[in-house]
Amino acid sequence: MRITKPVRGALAAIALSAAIVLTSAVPANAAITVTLSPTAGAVGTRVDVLASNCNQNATAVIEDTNVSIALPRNNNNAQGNFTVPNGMKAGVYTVLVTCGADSASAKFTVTSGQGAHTGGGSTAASGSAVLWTGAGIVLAAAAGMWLLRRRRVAA
Amino acid sequence: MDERRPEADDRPIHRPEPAFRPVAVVVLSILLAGGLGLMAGSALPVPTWRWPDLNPFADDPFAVADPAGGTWLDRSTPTRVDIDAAGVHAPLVELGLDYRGDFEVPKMWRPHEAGWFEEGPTPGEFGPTVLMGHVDTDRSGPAVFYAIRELDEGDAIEVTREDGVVVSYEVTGIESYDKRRLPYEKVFGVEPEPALRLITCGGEFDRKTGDYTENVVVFASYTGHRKATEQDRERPLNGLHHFERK
Repeated sequence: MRITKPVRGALAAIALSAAIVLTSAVPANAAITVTLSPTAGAVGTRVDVLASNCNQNATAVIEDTNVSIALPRNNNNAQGNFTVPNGMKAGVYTVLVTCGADSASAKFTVTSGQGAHTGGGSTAASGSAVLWTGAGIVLAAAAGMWLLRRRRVAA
Repeated sequence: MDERRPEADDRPIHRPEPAFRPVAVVVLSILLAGGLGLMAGSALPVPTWRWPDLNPFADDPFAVADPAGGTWLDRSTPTRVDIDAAGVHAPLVELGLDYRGDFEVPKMWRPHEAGWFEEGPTPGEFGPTVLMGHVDTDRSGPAVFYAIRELDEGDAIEVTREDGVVVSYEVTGIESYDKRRLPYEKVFGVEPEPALRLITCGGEFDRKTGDYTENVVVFASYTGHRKATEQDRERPLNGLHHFERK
């Protein structure tokens, strides 16, 4: 049977797309991604770095610093950790992972170590107000007791 | 006293009901104790006691959370947050760090706005999405996240993204931490699925520093996402007037 030119072309296209589907199904060829945990922290925070789909030992650097991190292979991933070093300035840093010929990055935020200033205090009961309220109640209770006692004596 | 008693019996009784005195004594004692408690509580810091962390995977967050282990959403800016249980319907602004390296927070004069930590994951992406909002302002009273400390486990939170996807979460816990000792690995750490944290202020207000001593953190886990419906799009937002002092 003679295969016409268009049919041959169609067959070739089908074969090619099948090959593409097959190769993309192989996990080793999946793009590596970098995940940090936590994604923000102050000096002293330990940060875990995971390079997913990196099936070999990898290395990471924090850009614009001299911090480098070893990421030994762990199953289908490479994983390591670093501790935010003393003196590291607050700001957003890029953690760049190199895995063989591939590289990928994730952002880490170094904070000052102060919590979020999410209040102005207009609904806060001030400490001294609470103290004076407590003192007032104690005084009222003491006065009541004294009255009770006096009435008992009078009776 | 004993000598007067027979005499007293002859007179008409002026004494109150016999039950009055013991009841009054009990009530006054409770008042006294309460007042002393208030005084002590205002003067002494209240220690917060926690369960020790018994999670065997605490050392390795990726032992239980695989970023490549699910089909999560791509990045898209969150635009609003809705928490029916707390009456929150707020627009979101982008937040980073301020010039001191502290967390940037929404403007004090815009108490209806909450913000999202722009350097972190967006809702539905793997990792923790962090929203911050004021508990109150310097003069106008309660602000956008005033009521979130009253949330219960299981309450629903919805965050809408720019691409029209609504990501839903449910509250899994509420904690309050000293601002100088935020547990970053808990608040900004990964969970097996996309996670959400709401941060506002709590604890005492220190008038010297003009700041609260603690951060209240609401933890929530991903429950799903959907394309925004007509009903979603028509939900009104709480505007500035919502927080004006009446």
